[in-house]
Amino acid sequence: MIRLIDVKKEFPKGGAALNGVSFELRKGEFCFLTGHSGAGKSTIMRLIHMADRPTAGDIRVAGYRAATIQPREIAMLRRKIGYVFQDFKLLPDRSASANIAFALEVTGARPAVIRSKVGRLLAQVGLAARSEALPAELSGGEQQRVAVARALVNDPLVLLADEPTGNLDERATWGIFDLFRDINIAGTAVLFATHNLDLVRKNPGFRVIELDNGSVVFDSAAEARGA
Amino acid sequence: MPHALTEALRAFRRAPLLTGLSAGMIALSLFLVGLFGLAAYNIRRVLERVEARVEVVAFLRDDAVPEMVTQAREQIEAYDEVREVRYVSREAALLKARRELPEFEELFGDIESNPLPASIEVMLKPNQTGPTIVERVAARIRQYPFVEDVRYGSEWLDKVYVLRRVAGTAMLVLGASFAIVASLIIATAIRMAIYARRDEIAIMRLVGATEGFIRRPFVLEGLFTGIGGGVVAVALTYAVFAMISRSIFQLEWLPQSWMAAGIAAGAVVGIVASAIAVRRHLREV
Repeated sequence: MIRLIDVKKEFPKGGAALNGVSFELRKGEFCFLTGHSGAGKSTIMRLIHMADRPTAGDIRVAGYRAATIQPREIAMLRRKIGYVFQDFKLLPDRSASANIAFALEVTGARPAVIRSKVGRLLAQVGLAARSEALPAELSGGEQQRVAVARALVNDPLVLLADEPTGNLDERATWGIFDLFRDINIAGTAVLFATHNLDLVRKNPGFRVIELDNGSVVFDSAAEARGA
Repeated sequence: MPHALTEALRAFRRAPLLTGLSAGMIALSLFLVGLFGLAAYNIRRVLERVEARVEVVAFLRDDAVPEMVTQAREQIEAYDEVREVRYVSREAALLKARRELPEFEELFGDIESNPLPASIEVMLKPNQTGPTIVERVAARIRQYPFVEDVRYGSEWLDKVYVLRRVAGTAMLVLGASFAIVASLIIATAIRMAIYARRDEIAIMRLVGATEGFIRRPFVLEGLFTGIGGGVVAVALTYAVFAMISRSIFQLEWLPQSWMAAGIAAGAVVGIVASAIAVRRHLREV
């Protein structure tokens, strides 16, 4: 479903962000993307989201190729990709339900469909009682739940999570991680970028790709195939 | 479209000062164009009235044979440009002079013989009063051997037409200049609106909004600003028209098509300026 083939990315002012990264994420798979800050995790997320183009190599996502994708196709592709950030990226002047609804409004969904989906997702992320609260009235963990609900609103094939627990305390971190795991069990692939090794170690059943200086230095799936 | 409309209207509530300033500047620009338009329109109306009175007068030699004059009169009446031809005899000319110039009554009373020549007055059709046409008709009439001289006020007629051309050109130049100024103001307002909403735009892109969906509210905002400015400009122009008509001299108010064109100009300036600004500045956020 997502395939990176020898992807290179250079910074505009020189220096390499990625040095020939290749891996494939299959439908319904859960994968940790680990590495220290600057290893290239966020760059990979942005490239998969088509927010940027690789300097060399190719990226294929849900039938689209980075080399040939058109601007309108990028918008359509993004409706198949949920994206969750460390800093939530919620609209501060809109309620939790309005933030989730916003992602459906841009697709031209009918109001009845929006109401129904938003209500279901708020219940799924455990915020049914806080639907009218503004982001500033919610805790960090609750804000991230709203962001996750927004990412799920278009029934994406894959959820990209870029350090989604980076701003959360331990309790909220595990709550959010459990939410991602449940989403994955329901069939959505998850690419979970984190430098929280504790989270990775305590979930040994999931695939792990480790990056260092823009290169893949460990891929548990490749190790397993090699063994 | 409902989303674009809601967002465009929300922009006015969100930044009333900025959008009000934009609409105000467009109104001011179009108001100045409107004032000039009012002047140009009234000059045009005066010219039309003057043009309606344009006539060619052929003064006849004293030895002109009446039958030849009658024949020539019939021929001139058949010209495409001519509405009416009147023969004015020497006696009729003297009577007319006495009637129209009473201050010279004493002079006319003293003279023993009539010094005024007979003439043929040629009135032209309403749309046949341009300088070239008048010149052409005069040249044809001058061909008759019994015609001593032909007068049609060529000098002042040419000047009136030059004035009309200058007025029209000045209106176009002024209109274009202020359209550019108004465009720059709208573009600046749209740019500021884009920067104020850059987080929202980033989230729109994140969740799969097309560029058209993101652009539409800004373009509509420009359109509404332009229409609002156009309506205010028409109202201000009317206020000036009413004031001048009441206290200085009576003017004619602009036709509805001119007012509609003014508002449409505001709308076009608004939509074009915002579309260009959106296309340019959305890339930066």
